[in-house]
Amino acid sequence: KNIRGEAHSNPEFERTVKELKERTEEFKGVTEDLKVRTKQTTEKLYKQADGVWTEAESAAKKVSSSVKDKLSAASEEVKESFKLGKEENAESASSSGTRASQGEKQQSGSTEELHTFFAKFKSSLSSPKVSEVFYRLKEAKPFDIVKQALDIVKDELRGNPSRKKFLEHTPPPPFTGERSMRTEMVVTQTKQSKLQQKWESFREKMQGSPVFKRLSGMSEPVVNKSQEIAEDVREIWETSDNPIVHKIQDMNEKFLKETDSASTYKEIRSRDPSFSLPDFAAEIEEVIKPVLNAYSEGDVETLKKYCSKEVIERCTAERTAYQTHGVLFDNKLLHISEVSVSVTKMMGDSPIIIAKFQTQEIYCVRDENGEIQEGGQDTIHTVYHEWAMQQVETTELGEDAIYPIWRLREMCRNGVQALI
Amino acid sequence: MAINRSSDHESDENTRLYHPYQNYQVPIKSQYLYKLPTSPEFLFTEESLKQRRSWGENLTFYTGTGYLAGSVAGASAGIFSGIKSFENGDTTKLKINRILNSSGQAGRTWGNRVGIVGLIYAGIESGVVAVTDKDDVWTSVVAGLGTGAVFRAARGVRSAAVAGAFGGIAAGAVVAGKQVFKRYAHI
Amino acid sequence: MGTPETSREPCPDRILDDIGGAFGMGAVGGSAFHFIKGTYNSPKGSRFVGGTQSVSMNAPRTGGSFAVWGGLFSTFDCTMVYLRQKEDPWNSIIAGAATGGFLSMRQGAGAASRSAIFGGVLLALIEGAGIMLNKVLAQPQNMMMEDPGMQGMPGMQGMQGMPGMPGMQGMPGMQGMQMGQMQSQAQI
Repeated sequence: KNIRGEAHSNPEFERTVKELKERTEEFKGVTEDLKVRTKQTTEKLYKQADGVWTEAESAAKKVSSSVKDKLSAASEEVKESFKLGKEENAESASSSGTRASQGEKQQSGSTEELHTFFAKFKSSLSSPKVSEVFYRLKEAKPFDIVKQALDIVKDELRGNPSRKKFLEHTPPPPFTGERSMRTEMVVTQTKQSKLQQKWESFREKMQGSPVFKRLSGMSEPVVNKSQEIAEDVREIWETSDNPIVHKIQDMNEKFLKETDSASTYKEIRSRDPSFSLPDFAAEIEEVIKPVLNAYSEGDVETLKKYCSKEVIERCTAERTAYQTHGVLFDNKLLHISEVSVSVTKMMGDSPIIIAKFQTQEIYCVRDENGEIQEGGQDTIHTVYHEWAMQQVETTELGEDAIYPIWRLREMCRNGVQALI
Repeated sequence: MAINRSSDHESDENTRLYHPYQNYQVPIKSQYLYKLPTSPEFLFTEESLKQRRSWGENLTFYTGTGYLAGSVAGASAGIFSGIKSFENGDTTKLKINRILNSSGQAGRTWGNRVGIVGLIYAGIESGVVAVTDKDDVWTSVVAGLGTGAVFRAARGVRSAAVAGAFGGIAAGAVVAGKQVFKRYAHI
Repeated sequence: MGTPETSREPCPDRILDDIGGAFGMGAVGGSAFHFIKGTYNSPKGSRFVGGTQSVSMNAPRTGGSFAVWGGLFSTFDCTMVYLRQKEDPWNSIIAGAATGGFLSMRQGAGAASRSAIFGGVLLALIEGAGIMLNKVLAQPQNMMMEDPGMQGMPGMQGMQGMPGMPGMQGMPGMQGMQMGQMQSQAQI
């Protein structure tokens, strides 16, 4: 969400970029601190570029899906312009082919003329969906507006568009463009509103005046002394032993401080900014069926896709144990209901989200030669499950992963109820 | 001046004839019948014409019908999908269980969803009526618009706008339909 | 609820009303609770977003369960009224028990009976509280009821002389009546 916010300022950013181009011609010499600042901004831009990459990746998927059900004429046009978009703007994201084709045509058209080093940044930043819609509505003819409106409504009716996957790791599409070796130092002027400029000039003026100097000379020791005293007081408060202070600290802790789950959410958001709890819960609901079936059948591939290695080990261990004892579980999953997120907490340094749900399963245990030892063909149990999902670091995922994904860290069935 | 020959224009359907000596078998001629008003008499005529529900009844009515309609529709859809999802090896108990599950599930989800829509619609409509104090097609359209927008607000601005427009049109259609029905149903 | 039980809608509409009311209460109460829980459990920056997300996930569910309970309860209540043809607290207690039993029927007889008892006891408490409330609220009105009744009785005797007056005209009749009332007031 905050990427889209930053990208919102894209039109002003375009203007500043143009302005900046003229400035660079004027003065060539780059001072030292400018270099440091530019390195930071470039880093920021790279991060944004990565962020936009996933945007492009999901948009790309959407484009391919919308291409399927688009009119034949429009689809060729999209494919052709999609290809065009892809080759010419070099290394980072293709101009995210949004649904309507014209948008893309204009988009790729404008990238051709610029063709300078900045083109890379501009095209990668100009793809956020919302400003895209306004941009297109301004340009397109009335007939197109109707078509787009229909597109939007159709897209709405088809349920929410494909969400960003939290549970599976979808490696980004293989990168075909060539990678630019040059790391260019770029002077970016941080945008200062008029008010701030006025305040800056005022402060410089004040710094210069003798009165201020004398005053600050006198006030310097007082400020330091008071800070030291404050430091000491805080020290005593924190490390005091008497129970009353502890009681107050606990009270304060309970009410004002963030709860444990709040800090976990902050941690999760810091690692994966586009995390949203409802989508995460919905995705869990979709994943339950395959994982449970895989777990009961013991097929490791699907488990590997969703679960952490502990779960896989446990599953294989259980299956071997049951086989040795000649016990075969034949419980079939009937129904999943009441999926809800119950607790979020930190385990070590990786956040854990515990999800609770109920399933209805057939409870039927057979021995080697197939007779039913316990339960029956149609004895149904309601089983209360709890899953602990752990956020897995991008480093473990693989080299080119951008966002951490969630894996099933542990599952337990903490309640069974017979159901007639 | 016996009332049954009364000259005034009292509309007949909201008065009832009352015979004072009905229960007492007294040999008298029963030409004196009185017309007693059945509905509460309003001070101003237009107040009596407008059958308006107070905001409480309004809320319970819309939410109630919404939830009921949603859950019944969901349950029936659930039954069909349940039947469709039969597997060959099922015993009857499993079949019933499957149908019950799917109908319960669908019923509950759709019931909740339509119930929430009904609740928001009732709330906004009472608000609009309280503010503009006139109860006509436009109030319902505005309420429908508001409901659509609020319901899809979590999904993002664009989908909220689309849902809002859809809600407004739907509410307008329903109210227009009701008026048409009311006008022709009498004839 | 101050208003006496009978002032609610007649049976068929009452079910609709109850479902609507229960869903409303469940949804609003649920959303308030979850909003507070959500904001409490969400980080400083996005407190409001956390709250709304938790509301949008959990509030409809609570609303739904309230509605199911309310709906079943009032259907059973109406059937009881229809069967026993009288409105009394026993109706709702039995209806509460029936709802409890019905809802957990699938968990087998034991669970069903347990929750039926639970439902019955819960409704008994609610009815008891309702009756006490009515008694407490209705207490002041009863005292007032006595003395106007008392004042009415002597008035009747004063009226007695009136029928004897021969040839009563409309106008004099009126005075006669007032005179009767004055007499009775004088007597008190």
